[in-house]
Amino acid sequence: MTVLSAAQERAVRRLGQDVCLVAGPGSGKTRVLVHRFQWLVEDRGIPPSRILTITFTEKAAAEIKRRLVEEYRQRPELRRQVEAAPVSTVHAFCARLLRENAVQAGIDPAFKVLDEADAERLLHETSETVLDQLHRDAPEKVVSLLEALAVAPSNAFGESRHPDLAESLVDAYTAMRIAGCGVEGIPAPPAGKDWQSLLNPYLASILDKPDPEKLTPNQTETHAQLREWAGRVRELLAQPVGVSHFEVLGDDRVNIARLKADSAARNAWTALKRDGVLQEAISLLASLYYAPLRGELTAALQSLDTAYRQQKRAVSSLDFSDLEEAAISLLREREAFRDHVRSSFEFILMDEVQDTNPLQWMLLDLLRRPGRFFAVGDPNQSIFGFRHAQPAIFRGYRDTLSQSGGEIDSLHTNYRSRPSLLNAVNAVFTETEGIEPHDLMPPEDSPACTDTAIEILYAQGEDLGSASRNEACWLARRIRELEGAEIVRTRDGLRPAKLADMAILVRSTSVLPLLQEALAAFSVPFLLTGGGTFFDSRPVRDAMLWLSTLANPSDEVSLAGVLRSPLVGLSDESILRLRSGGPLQAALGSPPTLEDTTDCERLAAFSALYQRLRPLRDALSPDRLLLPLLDASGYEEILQTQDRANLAKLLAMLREERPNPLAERLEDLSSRRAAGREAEAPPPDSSQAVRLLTMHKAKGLEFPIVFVPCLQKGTRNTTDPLRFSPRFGLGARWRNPHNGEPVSDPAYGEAARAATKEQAGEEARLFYVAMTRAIDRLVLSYAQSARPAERAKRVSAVFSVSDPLPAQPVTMVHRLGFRYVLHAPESLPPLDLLRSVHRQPSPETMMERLPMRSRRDATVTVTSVALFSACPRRYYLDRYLGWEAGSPTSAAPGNLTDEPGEGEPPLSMEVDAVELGTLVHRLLAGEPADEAPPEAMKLASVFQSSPLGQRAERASRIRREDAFLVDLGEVLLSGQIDLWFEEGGELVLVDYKTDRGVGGSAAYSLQMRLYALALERLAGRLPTLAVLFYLRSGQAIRVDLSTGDLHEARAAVTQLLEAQDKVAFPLNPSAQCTRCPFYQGLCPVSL
Amino acid sequence: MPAPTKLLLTGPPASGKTTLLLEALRRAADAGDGTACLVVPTATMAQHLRHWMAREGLPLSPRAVQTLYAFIQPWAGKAAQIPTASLSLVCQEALERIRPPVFEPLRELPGFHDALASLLDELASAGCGAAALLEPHLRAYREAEFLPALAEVLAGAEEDLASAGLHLRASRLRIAASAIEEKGLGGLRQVFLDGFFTLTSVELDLVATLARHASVTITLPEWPGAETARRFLLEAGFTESKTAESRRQPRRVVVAAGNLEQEVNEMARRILEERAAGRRFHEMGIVVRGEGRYLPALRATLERLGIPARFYFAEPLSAIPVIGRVEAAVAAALRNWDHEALVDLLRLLPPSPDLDAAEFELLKRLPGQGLEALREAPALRTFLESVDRLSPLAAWRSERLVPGEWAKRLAELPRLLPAPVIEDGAPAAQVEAWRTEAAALRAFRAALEEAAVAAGIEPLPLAEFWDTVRLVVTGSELRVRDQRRDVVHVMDANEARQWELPVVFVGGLTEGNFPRRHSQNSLFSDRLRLALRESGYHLRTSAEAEVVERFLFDLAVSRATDLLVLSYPQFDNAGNETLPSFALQEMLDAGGLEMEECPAVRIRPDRPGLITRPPAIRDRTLRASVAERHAVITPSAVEAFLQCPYSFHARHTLGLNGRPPHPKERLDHSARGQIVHDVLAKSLLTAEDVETIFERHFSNACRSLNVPPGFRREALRLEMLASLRAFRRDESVPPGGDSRAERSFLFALPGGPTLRGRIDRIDRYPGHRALIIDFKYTRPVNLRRYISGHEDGVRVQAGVYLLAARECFQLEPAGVLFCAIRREVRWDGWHAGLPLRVGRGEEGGARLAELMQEAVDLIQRTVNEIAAGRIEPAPADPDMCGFCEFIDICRIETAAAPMTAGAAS
Ligand code: SF4
Repeated sequence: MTVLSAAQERAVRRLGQDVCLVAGPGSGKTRVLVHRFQWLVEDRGIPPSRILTITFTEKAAAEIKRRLVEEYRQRPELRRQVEAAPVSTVHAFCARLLRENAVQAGIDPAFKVLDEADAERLLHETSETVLDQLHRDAPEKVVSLLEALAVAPSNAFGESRHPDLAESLVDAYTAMRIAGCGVEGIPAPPAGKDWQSLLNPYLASILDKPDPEKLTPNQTETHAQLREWAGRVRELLAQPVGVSHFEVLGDDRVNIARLKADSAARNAWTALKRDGVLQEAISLLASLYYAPLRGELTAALQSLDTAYRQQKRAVSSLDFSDLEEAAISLLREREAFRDHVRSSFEFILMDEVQDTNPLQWMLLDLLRRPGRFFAVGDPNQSIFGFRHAQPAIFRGYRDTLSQSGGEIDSLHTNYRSRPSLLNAVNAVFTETEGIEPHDLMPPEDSPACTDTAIEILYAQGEDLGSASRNEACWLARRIRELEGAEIVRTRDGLRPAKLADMAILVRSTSVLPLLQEALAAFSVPFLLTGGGTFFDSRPVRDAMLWLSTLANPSDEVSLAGVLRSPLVGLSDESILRLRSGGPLQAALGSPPTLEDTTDCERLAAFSALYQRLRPLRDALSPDRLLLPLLDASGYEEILQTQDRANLAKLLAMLREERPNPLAERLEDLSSRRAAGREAEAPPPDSSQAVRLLTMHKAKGLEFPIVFVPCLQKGTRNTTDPLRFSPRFGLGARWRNPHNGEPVSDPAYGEAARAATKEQAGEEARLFYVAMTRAIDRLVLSYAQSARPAERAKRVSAVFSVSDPLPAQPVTMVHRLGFRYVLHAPESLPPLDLLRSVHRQPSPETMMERLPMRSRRDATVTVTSVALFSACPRRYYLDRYLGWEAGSPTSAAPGNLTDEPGEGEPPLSMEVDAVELGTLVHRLLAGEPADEAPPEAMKLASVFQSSPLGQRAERASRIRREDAFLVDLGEVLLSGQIDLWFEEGGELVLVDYKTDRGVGGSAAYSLQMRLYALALERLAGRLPTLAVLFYLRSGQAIRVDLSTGDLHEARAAVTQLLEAQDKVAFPLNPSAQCTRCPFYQGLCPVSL
Repeated sequence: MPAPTKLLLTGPPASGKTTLLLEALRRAADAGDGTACLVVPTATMAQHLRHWMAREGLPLSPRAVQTLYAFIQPWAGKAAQIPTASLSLVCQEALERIRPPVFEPLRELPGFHDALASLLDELASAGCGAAALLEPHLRAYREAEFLPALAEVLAGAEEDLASAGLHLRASRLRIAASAIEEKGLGGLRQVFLDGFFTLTSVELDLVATLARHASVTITLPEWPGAETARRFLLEAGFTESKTAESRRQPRRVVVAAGNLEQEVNEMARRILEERAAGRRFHEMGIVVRGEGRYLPALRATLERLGIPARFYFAEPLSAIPVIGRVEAAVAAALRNWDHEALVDLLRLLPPSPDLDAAEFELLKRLPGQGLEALREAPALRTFLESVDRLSPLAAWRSERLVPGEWAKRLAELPRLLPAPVIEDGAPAAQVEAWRTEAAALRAFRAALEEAAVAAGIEPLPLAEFWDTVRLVVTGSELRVRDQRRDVVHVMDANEARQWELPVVFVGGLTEGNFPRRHSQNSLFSDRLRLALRESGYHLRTSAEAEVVERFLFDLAVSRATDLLVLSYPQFDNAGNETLPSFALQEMLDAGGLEMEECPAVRIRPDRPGLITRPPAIRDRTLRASVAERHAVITPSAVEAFLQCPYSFHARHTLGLNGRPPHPKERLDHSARGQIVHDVLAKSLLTAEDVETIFERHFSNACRSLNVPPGFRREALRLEMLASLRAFRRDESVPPGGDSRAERSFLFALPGGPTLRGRIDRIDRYPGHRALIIDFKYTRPVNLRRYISGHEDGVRVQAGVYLLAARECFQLEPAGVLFCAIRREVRWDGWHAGLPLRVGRGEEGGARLAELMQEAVDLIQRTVNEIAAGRIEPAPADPDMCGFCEFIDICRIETAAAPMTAGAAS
């Protein structure tokens, strides 16, 4: 076990109370958690299965498990227990709880968990359907809602960034669920003020108090105007709210400057206008005016809830919130069950508590027992507000614990970053809204900081665009400078920095294109984590074009796209020629001759592949439709590493179980594309790439060198027309019925204000998380902007970024004593480092594809060989492919069973005859054939009384219905011999025939010779006599078994195997065709 | 006859139990009288052993190797074993009939029916029935609250089974056991049982019965799960013989691949390497746990590399296209030929150019119902012929028949659908598809029969019977026969137990995947299972299931004789790091494993990458024909070229047609623009109010574009209406008596080309002066960009309209105004000497002249470039690419080029 600091040790061993461990970045919280687990197991004797560990991500759960198992490596018994210990995410915990108690929970025991993207898609579709249904049932209500709410008419055409009604409902619904508030329990809008009593005092001031004397004529006029307005408002006070209220209240043109200073009227008007009283009154009015529609909205939310639940139930699926909700209600409603679950865990350890949302906390509250909960978190690193995580939850827990006399543990020693970096973080975040003041401290033995580990890059430019470009290019160039030059600390000790040691952390993905361009320009490979550009990558688009073409080539856009892509490589001229000749897809059927011979060949090859794969479009998974074209065109050869990785990711995606047919599959993919959330693939070799990721994704990671660029860029405020907050209920942004301007009702206003405040805190924390990822060097950069975001302003202030700005890097000393480099370039960097690196690609092994191998079967049956020699095609349809007689379009019911080997009936017999034959065979094999018809008995007796039958009676060795499987060398031969016996030194082989005809076809003879070959192996020698015995006529026909004959029989087997290899089964038209079940059906023969 | 022997061979995996047993079998065979039989758990295992025996030259009939199922057949007689899917149906029906209130929320959930079925089966195998759930001592447990209801439902299912003459596996075994007890084993004198992990209590009873009538030799692996069985057998008088001798250890290698794809590639690479060293394919096997994500990747990769492989896995029957086709046909008929259902059907028919055209035609006509409305469309003729062949189905909708009759009729259904055209010389995948299709149709007929049994004997409508069929089909699996010899064997860990191969790959060794983790049964918890043991019935707990899993792992890693390759992906598909299986880590800790690199691999293509040519039309004749095509051109086409030569080429020269839009997208931006334009033009001509005109136009447009009603259409309607109202309120440029709407023009520029177009409105002012007005259904904020486009050389409309006023209408061009109308109204443009409060009057007539001249220059430059074959993607405004329908095919790459250029300057 590694040594812990005193503070860490205290937390690990604290007992007798719940533990709240506030652990700053880099303070070793996972270590503490793992040690706590170990301490409980070893010192307190708690079995690992009775410690529940909850983490925020699968990755964290795996990491904790890994560390624990590592600790118990040498103790197999404990190790197995630890392996099975419950360490999981909240969702995985709920899923297991529900799976094991599905009956109590009333859910399908085989439920699936919908991933976030699928759930979102289903929810959106449901929202559309619900609104369409509402429109069918009560169109006027939908019209009212659409007219009343400030929603976009549609988001279907990529025209609007504002949500439409369907989306707004979804957003409100989601917020409501995560807040743990069912649709039935939406809190009523906050009561309180009414608009009349709000306005009354001001109106009174304007109307009742006489105006001061000595007004200028202008003032007199204005005061009169104001009184007139106030009078109109007062008249409205008693009237039911209507459009005129909005009209009058909105008619606020009285010029404040023309009212007498300090007059009561002016003061009142100031309050009304500037302090927002009037706006508040309008907001209250809107709430009254639209009260009936609010009911409609709630009803729509309820319908959405019902429909969404039904949809999920229909496919036995739960989304993530369902997991939590269902687990909560199970625990809440069943006391005995709750007690049982609670008591099955002695302790609960929870990681990253600051990222908990209300629903999750409710669950935890139901699970935990007093004094047995160990929570680790850092309110300053709570950054998942967009997923409804609330840092207040952790703070609340801490405060309650401390109010009840509990100790709070905290770890603020940072073992990760250089002291100067910690100083910089402390400097940036003093007195910051949303950040609790805790200075991060280096370990006590850290050396004094004399380095310049902080760099501030402030890029200037003519406008924001050029400044941003400057910033991106300087950043890329700086990466090139640091690569191989900067010495960094890593797990393997000190070494020159590789690209993989560096990370660029961005706030939003919108800045990625600019950064990517700059990195590419400076030959800096990067690994993008997150982002939603997977489907836009070139190879993915090309692949989709091909698959769309296979689905339906009438989609000429896709067809033209694939033709001109390197998958086919036609020139635009050739495509133009093809198109001039008519619809483009005609070229796929019978490719016309093109002037360009290269194109001509390419088109012919492509068309052949298309013809081959098109009939298989639904039978093969799409990846198997794509690979042949990739191989035929050498497409992957021209791709860069990243693109190849994306292609591999696409192949994996195409292998997922998803709906058939291909067309539907493509629709599914394009809706995933539209959602824009699929991140590009990680390149296989990422050691030579800078990490490019969002601050959110960087949580929990650390990098020797960190760049935090584009600090000037703020975030867009949301314009959702609906807002839900547990405190204020459902709020709406309505349209002012008078002028159509948006007007928020009080619930919306309150929620929006709270959200804005929360958002500011969250932004600060994100920046905090980003900065604290750095181990050795931190580069903060931003572009000159007229309206920089808060964090850029703070950096400017803390690092004295003000005129005169140094165009060359200069070292500065902060008042806290640490040094930093400030650089404020005005133009693009010099070209010295542009595209000059050649990085050795990692070596690759080339795999050769084998030509088509042998396709021969391991076994053949005797009747198969006979059937093959009679007609290869019939064999192919019947035996090789297994098309049963009676399959689609076959002309007549057939006569050959599918199961070869045992009890095979002869080659040409009708169905009733087959049954009869079987009975006769059974009788002859000595089996009791219950209720055998007299005809069968009669036929059997024909043989029994024949001379051959008499000989058999005398046999020294006899086998009836002898099934065999013998090795012919190249193949195993199987079948069943009706009868063989040894008598008088002769080995006799007999095959009964119940056919009416006599004479024995060639097929029968072949069959007998194959039996003879088998018998040679069974009995140790070749038969001396082979007889076809016709039961109807009593005739025994002898079959020749000369060496030549037997050789031919073997050759027939070889021919069959060769035909299998080549899939060559020609027709053999003859008179027998009319009796073939495939005649005029699957067989194309025409006689 | 010597007294029967009872021998139990035990030992750890790979300790040679099977070898010993086969030796004994060989001796029995050499005795030569066919009185020995080897019984194994699965059919593939039986086949594998038969082949082995034939190759070894054992003089045994193939019938001497049997699955347990087949072995007991002669004694089980007519006792039919119920298939799994039907058992769920039986449970569902019992549940429906009994309807215990506590199960009401679960009544319709398929997973619950399956869970009931599997518990019923488990109880039977343990030697008890539903009644065991009512054992009094179980009542003390919290989970027992559901037991009475559960027992009632399961007992109901048992009764149903009995009255239908159907049996669970366990009861069939029991019937066979008593028949054997009664009649003996015929001539059979020796029975060998191999490949069973352990035996259930019913199986043990059967073995004991066998041992009373013949010599029995049975192998059991040494593991905790087999302990109960072992004890039972010893008590039954079996002598135990332990095999301790472990055979030679193979070389054991561990490979950590980057991800699943690389892991599969690595297996393939090593297979090829082994092959090149002379190893046959059939000497190699790949073992994975479950189908999961490995199977498709293995199929694709092995196929791609030409490695023949046989997959010992079943596919869900419902996933086979021909079954989808049959299902789609019935669904379409039952839904009264609903057009969406028809699209589903069409997409599953064997493709043809006719059907391609039909699909798009049908998509354009969605939504709808019935065939009659479709008959007018020539593009649908062929498709409708196929549908017409299904007319019997439609007729059946109104009938009520007994299930057996429905099954018979539906069995004929595949004949009504197009048959495949089977040729020889087909590629392997095609052969596989045909074979699968044939097998699927057989399985479908079996499913129909199963459904008929399950659905009872009362007449019912087709829809109801079909629901049952679908449940059976969904629960059915298909194994397609594959007899090839020289193939790599790909199998599940369960299948692998009796195999022994020189080279074995065991993949997917990540924690939780292999060995798997098990949770408790939702109907019958571990505590209840343990409690039931007091009554002598053994049902497996989740902990025991995990022991089985671990045993499967131990078995899988002991299947190789020469080389064992263990592998896992380090990252999952989402790029998250995985945790290698703890069982693997344990093996690593124990030592003797070599870690080997997983080299990056590429697969050699047929050819090096294709060189594509830069986009341009160079050929003179082609250029001439393109120029000819655009000899008459509209200003918007010119602007399209100026925005991007490639998008112009794709739309205006090639005229490419894409997929029909989704119904909800039919009222797109241009359709709405058209409606607004039409309404404005009309309102200029009549006294009708704009609302009335709009509603008429709107509903006409919706009809002709086939826009289905819904909230979205309503939202768009309201927005257009609000926009038109805003326009009506706007008095910036009121139409006068001399306003004209929708004026077409056509005139030639000196030196070409000819320009064609239409002006929204022309207001005439005294002195033959004309003000041109062009409406844009767009947000006012976009107008600025439009105006500045005239400055930036990408817009010609203003100039062309001014020219048209002069050339075609003989008016003096005095101004051109653009009016953006969407929710709000904004005007902008240029004019000279007109009494207007909007637009840029201050720039005067000179600006108008400039606009005209600039337009002429731009147009002529444009047509020259068109004629010169310029077609490269070069967007003037890259932001517009996001709205371009050719974005996926133009191959504009946002490469570093602009940035580099910037840096260089
Ligand atoms: S996406 Fe852009 S570059 Fe490509 S064709 Fe369209 S406009 Fe041109």
